[in-house]
Amino acid sequence: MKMSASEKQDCLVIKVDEPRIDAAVAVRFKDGMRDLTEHPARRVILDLSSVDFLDSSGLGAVVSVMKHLGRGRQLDLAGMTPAVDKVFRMTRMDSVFDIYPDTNAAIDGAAHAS
Amino acid sequence: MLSRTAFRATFENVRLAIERAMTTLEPLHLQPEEASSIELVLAEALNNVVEHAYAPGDEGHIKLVLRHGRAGLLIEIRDNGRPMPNGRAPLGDNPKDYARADDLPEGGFGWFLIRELARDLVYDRENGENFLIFRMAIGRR
Repeated sequence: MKMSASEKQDCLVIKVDEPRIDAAVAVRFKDGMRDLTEHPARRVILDLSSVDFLDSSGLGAVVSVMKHLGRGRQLDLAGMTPAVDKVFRMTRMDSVFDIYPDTNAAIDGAAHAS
Repeated sequence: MLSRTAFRATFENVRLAIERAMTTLEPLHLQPEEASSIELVLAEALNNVVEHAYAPGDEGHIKLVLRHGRAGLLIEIRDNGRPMPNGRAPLGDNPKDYARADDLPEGGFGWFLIRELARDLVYDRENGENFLIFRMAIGRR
């Protein structure tokens, strides 16, 4: 599972460099996210701009990562492609996460919020 | 008949089967919205078989048939695994407004998504084989 993390301002930005988060990689995605989010940033931005497919297993994995971060830490989503956005909308998970068009908007969003 | 395939039931093979199916559907010039719905429904229905019909380590197989007709795209999935609970295809959990992050479900949306996107879904069992067939409305502009 190709994913990379970088620190931008006070945020940890994690980019998924895979075209799919599906049942075949959901567990690896969760493990990768758990490793990368050991970094103590309070706010984690997940950059999904390279992901053009996500199924219910992938969705469950993203939710699991968010729950794993626990209270006081936040998982925001950025750069969702139309097919990924559709799954979040249909399951109403779009109301659970803060969603930004891209990482820059997500970082700015944080700046405005604080 | 657009295609008929059979493959061993693993998540990796489901991925490959979906990739092949989407290539097969290219001549239909689907709208991106139609294509993403078909891809999602295929993933949910086929992964369900891998996850629930067969026990881990089983040498289970999945048969996938795609047909294109006036009513749209007909998708037929067969496997030799366990029957669905109570002999029925699940309805799936409806999404709710979740008050607390702790309450968020991490699964259970597969059947909800299938039910939302597919039409005329029929599940039956014939000669020890699970048989799921449904239609995707396509080409209606």
